[in-house]
Amino acid sequence: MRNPITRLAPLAMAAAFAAPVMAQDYPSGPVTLIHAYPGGPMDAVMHVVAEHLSDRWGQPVVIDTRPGANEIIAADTVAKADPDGQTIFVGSESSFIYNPYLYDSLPYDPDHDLIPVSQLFDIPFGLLIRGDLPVQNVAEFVALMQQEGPSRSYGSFGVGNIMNVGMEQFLQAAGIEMRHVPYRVAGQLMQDMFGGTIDAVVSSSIMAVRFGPTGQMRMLMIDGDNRQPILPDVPTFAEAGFPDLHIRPIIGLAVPAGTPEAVQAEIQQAFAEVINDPAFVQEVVGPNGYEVVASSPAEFQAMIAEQRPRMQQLIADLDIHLEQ
Amino acid sequence: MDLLTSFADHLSLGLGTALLPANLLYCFAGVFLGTLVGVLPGLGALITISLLLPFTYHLPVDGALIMLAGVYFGADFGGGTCSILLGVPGHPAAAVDVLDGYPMAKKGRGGVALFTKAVASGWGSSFGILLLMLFAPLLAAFARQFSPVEYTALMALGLMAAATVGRGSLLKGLAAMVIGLMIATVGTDVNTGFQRFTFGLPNLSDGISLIALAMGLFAVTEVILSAGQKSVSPVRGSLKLRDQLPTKAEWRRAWPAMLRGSGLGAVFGALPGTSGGMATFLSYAIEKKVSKTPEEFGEGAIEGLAAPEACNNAGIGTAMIPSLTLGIPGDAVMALLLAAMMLHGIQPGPLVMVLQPELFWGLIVSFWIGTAFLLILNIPLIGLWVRLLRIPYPMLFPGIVLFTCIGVYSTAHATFDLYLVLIFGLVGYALHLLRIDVVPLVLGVILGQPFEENLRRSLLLSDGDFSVFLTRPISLAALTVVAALGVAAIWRQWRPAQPLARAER
Repeated sequence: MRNPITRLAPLAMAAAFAAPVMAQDYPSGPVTLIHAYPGGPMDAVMHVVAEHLSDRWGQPVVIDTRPGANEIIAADTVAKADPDGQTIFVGSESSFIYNPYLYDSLPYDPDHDLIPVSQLFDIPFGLLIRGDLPVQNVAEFVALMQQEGPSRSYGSFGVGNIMNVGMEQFLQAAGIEMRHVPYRVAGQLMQDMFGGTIDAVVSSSIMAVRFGPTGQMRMLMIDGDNRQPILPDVPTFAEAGFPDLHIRPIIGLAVPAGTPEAVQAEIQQAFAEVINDPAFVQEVVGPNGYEVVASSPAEFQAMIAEQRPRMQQLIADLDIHLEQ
Repeated sequence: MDLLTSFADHLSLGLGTALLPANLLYCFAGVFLGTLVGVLPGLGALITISLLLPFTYHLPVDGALIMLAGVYFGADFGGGTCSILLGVPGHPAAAVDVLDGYPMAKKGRGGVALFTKAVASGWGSSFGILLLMLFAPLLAAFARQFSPVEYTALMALGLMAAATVGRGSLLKGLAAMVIGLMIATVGTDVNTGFQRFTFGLPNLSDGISLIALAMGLFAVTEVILSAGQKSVSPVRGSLKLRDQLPTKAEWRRAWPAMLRGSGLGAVFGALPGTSGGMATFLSYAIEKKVSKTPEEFGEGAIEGLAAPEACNNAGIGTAMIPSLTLGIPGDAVMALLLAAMMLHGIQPGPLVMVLQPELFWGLIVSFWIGTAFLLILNIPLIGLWVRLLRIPYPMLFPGIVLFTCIGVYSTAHATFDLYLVLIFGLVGYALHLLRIDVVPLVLGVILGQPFEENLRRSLLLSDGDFSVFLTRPISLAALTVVAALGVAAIWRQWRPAQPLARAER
C-alpha cells in the first residue's frame, strides 16, 4: 500500500460504480428544457432537438418557456430546480456572459448556482445596412460615418442587447460614432430600416439571405474565420480589416449546481450527437444562421471565462447599468 | 387589367394547392381545433399553435402551414364566442366583443350576436385577404411611409379616441386613460434599460402582462359582479334558427359599421407592432363617435359588435403582408408561423412569393377556405352555444375562473400573472362601483408603450425637435383630428346645458 493510487482504489471503485449507475438512471423522468423565447428561432430549433433527445432517452423531453427579463426568469427557474439534470437551461450570451455585468444584482448567483454544460451553437453576426445607403463596402461605410455618423442611426433590441453591445464594439474599433435607437418590436425595427430611418444593425446571416437578393439590405462583412457558404461575396471581419472584432451570440446549456458530473456528460453527449447530425445541420442549423459548436463543459467554461473580462470592460466603457 | 390577370393567376395557383384533399382536411382540422380551444377563456391561438408546432414537423410543409393558419383563424373566432356568451374574453383582442355582445346575450339576443359576429368576421377576413391578394406590394409601400413620427401621431389619435369614448364623463374617461398609460410605464425602459416601478421583481421587468390585465378586468370582474346580484336568472330565448338572424333594422345598422371596421382593420393590420387589440378597440371608439345613438353602446348596440369584429379579421388578412412578404412578424402568432416555415426549410421573406408561389398563394387561398369552414362550422353551432346561456350563470363561475387562470398561466408560466389577474379583477370591480369605464383604461395600456417608445424615438431622431410632428402630412392630419376631437369633447362637456342634451343622458 505504498502507492497512493492503490490507496485510492476503493474510492475510485466506488466512483466507478456510482457514475455508470447515475448515467444509466438518467433520465428517470421527463426532461424539461427551459428557455426565454417562446416563438423565436430558438424555440423552433429546440423543439426539433427535444424530439431527437426524447427518442434517445426514451423519456418525454418538453420545452418550457419563461420569457422576459433578459433570460433572468428562465435562468433563475433552473438555478432553483432539483440538480438531477432533468431541468436544463438553454440560454444565450445574455445569461452566460453579459447579465452579471449589466445588472447590479441577480436573483441567483451566476458563478455558482448554474453549471455551464455545453455551448451548442454560435451565431456569426455581420454588419447589415439598408439597401439604399450609398456605400458598397466597409471602408466606404466607415468614411460616410466619419462625415455624418452623429446624425446616422443604428437599431437594437434595447440597451445591453448584443445588437447594442456588438455594434458599439465595431464602432469603437472603427473609431466612429452613430446614434443608438432601441426597439422592442422586431417588425418596427425592420420597417424603419426599409423606410430609411435606421441605417444599420448587426444581425445574423438570415437577414442578408432574405433581403440581399432583392437589394433591400446589404451585408458588408460577417464574423467568422471563413466566409459563409450561403454568403460567398461577404468578406469576413478580418478580410474587411477588423481581425480583433467578434460579434457572435451563443446558445448554451446549463444545469443546477450539484448535478452529478456523469449526468452532465450524458447531457452534453446527447445534445452533441443530435446537433452534429448532418441532416440536422442541413435542415435546421444552416437555415437559421447558426453554427454547431457542441463544446464540452470544460471548453464552454473556458470560453466564458475568456469572454467575460472583455465584456465587463466594454460594458464599463459604454457605461451601461441595468437594475433588477 | 394587369392587376386582375395576375390576381386570377395567383388565385388559380393557390386553389391548386389549397383544394388538395389532404390540405382541405388539414385546414378543417386546424379551424376546428382552433375554435374548440379559442372558446375557452384565456386560451388562444398562441398556446394552441405552440402546442401543435411539434406535431406539424411530420406533415408536408403546405399542410403544416395551412393547419396552423387554420388554428389561428379558429382560435380568434372562438375567442369572440366566449366573450359574447359569458362576458369573458377568449383572448385580449376579443375583449371588445364583451362590451356589446355580452349585453345582447343577456337580453336574449345571443344568437343574433353570434350570427352578426360570424358574418362580420367572414366579411372582414374576405376583405383583408382580397386586399392581400390584390395590393400586397402597395400596402407594404404604404406601411413604409410610417416612420416613428407617424406611429406617434397615430397612437395619439387612438389615445384621444379612447379618452372621449367613455360611458361616463370626459373627466372620468381621461382619468381611466391616464391610469392605463401609467400601468403601461411599468417595466424596463427600452431607451435606457432603467427599471420602472418593478420593485425588484423580475416578473415585472417586461411590463404588466396584457392578457392578465384583460382577463382580470373582464372575466374576474364579471364573475364578481354576477355573484353580487341576488338572483341571476338564466337567459331565455328562442332556439329556432330564424330567431338567431338579425332583424332588418339591426342589419341596416350593422353593415356600414362592418365596412368602416374592415377598412380600419386593413390599415392597422399592415403596420407591424400595432396588434393586440389596438385596432379593434379603436374601431369600437369610432363607431360610438359616429353613432346617432351613442348611449346604446355598452347596452347591446349591434354596431359595437359588428365593427370591431370585421376590423379584427380584416387586420388578420393584411397582417400577413409584412409577415409573408417581408418575413416581419406582425404579432407573436405570426412569429410562430414564420418559425414553422423556417423549420420546414423555407426562408420567410420577399423570395417566398417568387421561389415557392404554390405554397405562398396556396396558404393565402387556404385562409379563405378556412374562413368558409369557420362559418359552416359555427353557424349551425349557434343553437348549441345559445343553450349554454340557459345554464345558471353561478354554476359557470368555477369553470370560468379556472380556465381563465389556465389561459393566463399558459402564456408565460408565471404564477405571478395569476396574482395580477386577481388584482385586476378587484380593480375592475372598484372601477365599476366608481362608474369609470374600463375601455379607455385598456386602450391606455395597449397604446401606452408604443406611444411612448415612438414619441421618444421620433425626438431622438430629430434631436429633440417637436416640429417633425407638424411637417409630415400623415402626422399633421392625425394630430389635427386629435385636436378636433379634444375641442369637440370639451365643447360637449361645458356648453350651456340644452334641454335636448339633457334628455339624451
